[in-house]
Amino acid sequence: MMRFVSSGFAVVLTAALFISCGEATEPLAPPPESAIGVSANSLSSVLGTTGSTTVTVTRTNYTRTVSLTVSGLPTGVTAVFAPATLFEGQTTSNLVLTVAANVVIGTTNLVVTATGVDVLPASAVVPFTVTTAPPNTLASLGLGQVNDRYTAELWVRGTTAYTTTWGTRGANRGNAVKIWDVSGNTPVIVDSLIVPNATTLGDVQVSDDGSLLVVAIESNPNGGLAIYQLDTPRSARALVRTTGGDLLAGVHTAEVARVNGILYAFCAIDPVGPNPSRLVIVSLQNPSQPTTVASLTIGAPILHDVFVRDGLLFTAEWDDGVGIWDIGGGGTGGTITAPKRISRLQTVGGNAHNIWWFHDPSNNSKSFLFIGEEGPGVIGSGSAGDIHVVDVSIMTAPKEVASYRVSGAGVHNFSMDEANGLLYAAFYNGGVRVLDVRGELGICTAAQKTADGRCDLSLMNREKTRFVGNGSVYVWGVHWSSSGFFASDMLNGLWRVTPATR
Amino acid sequence: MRFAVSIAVSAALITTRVGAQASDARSFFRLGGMAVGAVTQASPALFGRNITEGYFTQPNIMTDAARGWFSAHGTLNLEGYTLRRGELNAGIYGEGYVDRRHPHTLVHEVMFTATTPAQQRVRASLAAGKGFVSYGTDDPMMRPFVKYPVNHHHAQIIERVVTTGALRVGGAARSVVLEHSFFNGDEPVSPFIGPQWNRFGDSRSTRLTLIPVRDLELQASRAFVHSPGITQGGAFDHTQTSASLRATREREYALVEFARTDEGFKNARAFRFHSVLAEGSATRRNWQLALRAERTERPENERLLDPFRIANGHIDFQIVGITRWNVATVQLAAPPFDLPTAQLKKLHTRFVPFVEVAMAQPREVRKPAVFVPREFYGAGTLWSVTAGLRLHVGQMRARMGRYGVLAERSDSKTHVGPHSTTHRE
Repeated sequence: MMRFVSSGFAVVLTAALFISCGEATEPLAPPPESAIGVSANSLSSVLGTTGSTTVTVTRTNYTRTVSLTVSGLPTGVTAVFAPATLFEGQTTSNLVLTVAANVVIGTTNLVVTATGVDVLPASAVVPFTVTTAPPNTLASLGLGQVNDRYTAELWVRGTTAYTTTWGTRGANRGNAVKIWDVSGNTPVIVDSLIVPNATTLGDVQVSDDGSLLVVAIESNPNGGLAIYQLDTPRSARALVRTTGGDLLAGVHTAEVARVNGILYAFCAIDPVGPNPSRLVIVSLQNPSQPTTVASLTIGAPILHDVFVRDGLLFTAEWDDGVGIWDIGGGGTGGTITAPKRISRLQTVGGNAHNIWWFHDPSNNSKSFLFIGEEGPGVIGSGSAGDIHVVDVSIMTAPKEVASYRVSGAGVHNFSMDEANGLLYAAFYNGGVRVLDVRGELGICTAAQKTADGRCDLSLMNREKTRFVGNGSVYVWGVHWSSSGFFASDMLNGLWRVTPATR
Repeated sequence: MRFAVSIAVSAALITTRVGAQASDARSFFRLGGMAVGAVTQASPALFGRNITEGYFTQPNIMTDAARGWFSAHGTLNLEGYTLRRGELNAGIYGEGYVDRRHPHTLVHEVMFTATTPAQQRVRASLAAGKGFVSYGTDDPMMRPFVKYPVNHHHAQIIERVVTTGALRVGGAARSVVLEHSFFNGDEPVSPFIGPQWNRFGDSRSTRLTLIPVRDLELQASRAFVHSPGITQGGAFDHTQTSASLRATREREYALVEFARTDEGFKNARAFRFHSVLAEGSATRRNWQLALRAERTERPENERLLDPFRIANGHIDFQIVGITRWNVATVQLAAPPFDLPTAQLKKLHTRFVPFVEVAMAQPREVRKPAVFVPREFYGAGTLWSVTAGLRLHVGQMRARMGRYGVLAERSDSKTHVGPHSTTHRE
């Protein structure tokens, strides 16, 4: 009973306090104050088009006319408010921006200002982005499906293509070289070579005279080279499958190139245990008995790939960047048996993976190296890594000048249509990107630069077109030649694609 | 094999001679050995194939000695002789092996420790040599199961050139221990190849152990491991985190642990792998039943010619998938028995028959995946049945990898292996 009485008393007391407090704190009504505000959403427009966004004015005890203006427009962009003056009761206007075709792409901040008589002006920052039109995508002409193994690198000569296989798919190892008829739109498998004691194959290449097919075998501890005589393009006769020796630890890549008339395979050897990564140069003068002519410890932690041209050797040395070596054409006394390093450059981010030295026949420029950066990835679903452009106008002082990034995808191997200045770059889950790389790549406007001052090929509108396949691809390699353009897709097989045009 | 057996027998004989000399914790010498003879059937092991193999696994000779402030711990692991191909163990990976547990290095542990006197409430120790890093939980070899958990490389860092400083506040029943280690990051590449001495100090770890009451232990630790995958350096660094709760009673044992490994460079993380594990055992009428449940993620790498082998470190810093392993394991160990004759009883041997069954379900975490477990293994559920005999001879340690002031936490109640011949330090 006492608890009930005391509870009731507490309730009454609380109500009384609440009421009395309410009476004591009720404010006096302030005199009305006038104010305006303005806001608008960000806006993105494509070059050569018109875009718009709604501008909203808020009025607080203000009924008079409000005028709208905008500042900060990039050169080539014009703006119109519809309407530019808001009368009593009006609170919205449409800001229409017309973007000329030559506007520098990028993002700028516009300032929209609202003014009126006897009221403080209000302004709002509106991010405005100028973009290029989405590039056209290249059409697939046909897909030669490979479902039994994962497809790796490719090579095409005439109407015959060769693809290697990689890793383990189900119970099948990556020990097969597929030979394709690519005379039609859809590649058709006509033969398959099984490399003995192999689980993963890498590069495949036909010699410049069409007589040899050379395959890199990565399988540790059975790495090596498989060399075939091509009696006809589609009839490969095994000459040798190397065992042991310098290649045992695994040939990650093998570039076949001729130096002073002799054919060599430049083999990047994997590091294994305490043995570091190496470059092993193998003479194929007698292809049945390949002979090591040079072996160098290169790469931190690995040497991944090389590019050979005009007596120069370019090495993708991962975190050590890109190396330039004289193997007979550099004028420093280097030879194939004793390469001499001319210079080395650590590319931004490291992970230097592959190289192409571009010779532009349109102006005889040999100024640019394209470096593929291979970032961390989960093969099949994700990848990372940019293209880095290195100016080698002075071979002793290479300098990185530009880069290209695809958000959510990483670059892998390259091929080029040099006559048209088009770089084909495999981008794994991003498909293939085709870049126009003719002309100067290291000079651009401030708005076209990355935060660290390199030119950004995307902002320079250098992406010409792309190939995305069926939307679920993982493109390892690309090959452009007079035979056409092909892409090897780990998940699906071999695509034949409409080549890009200039 | 004969070499291993002969060493084990020699060790046992020595033990019988020195056992009587063992005295208090300030001055002692102990010698013990262990090994497991087992047959495992994995169904399937891979490619839809069942594999049955026999092993002489975990052959170890352990010695501990102390005098005054100083102590030494040594372990010879003979798996390099008996287990070169590895031991079937679905889900486990590391040191170039996958789905087979790798053999450990011959010189598993040689540690020398200086510890301040036992009477003080605040004590310190400094340990140096090759051995266990102050990170994570107890080595699986000293736990109830024969098959290792998938998270071995998430939850322990072992066989490194290491120095560990430790500070302990409190007594035996209630204390806090803080340890910090410097060590070499490179993982062993062979049972008979030593660590890269010039890499000593490129990695570090810190472990905080809280003992609120006797028989209960909470642990949290973190480690930075530089390039474990590539000996010369340059592979991803690992940032590892571990937390655990361990409880023991006279006949029961329980462990719950969380572990995580981040791979990447500096602040750029490339991959992250989680692990959660719970295990326990109970002994009744000398029969011991042990259960373990685990969920651990692991990276998948390109398989070599031997499909149970992978390159150490990720080729091109890429992996072919991430697989989440859900594994349940149960082991039943029978009452131990000794050798029949009085002469052999002097060896202090114990034989424990056991049978262990594990069920594993690997699933890809990211799709599309190049590594599809169901395709690779040929089944969605993998079974493993192991039967064998565990041998302990001489005086066995209760726990491993605990030096100086933390070693003194090891006591006879931490009886987690099947009927281990444990002791109080």
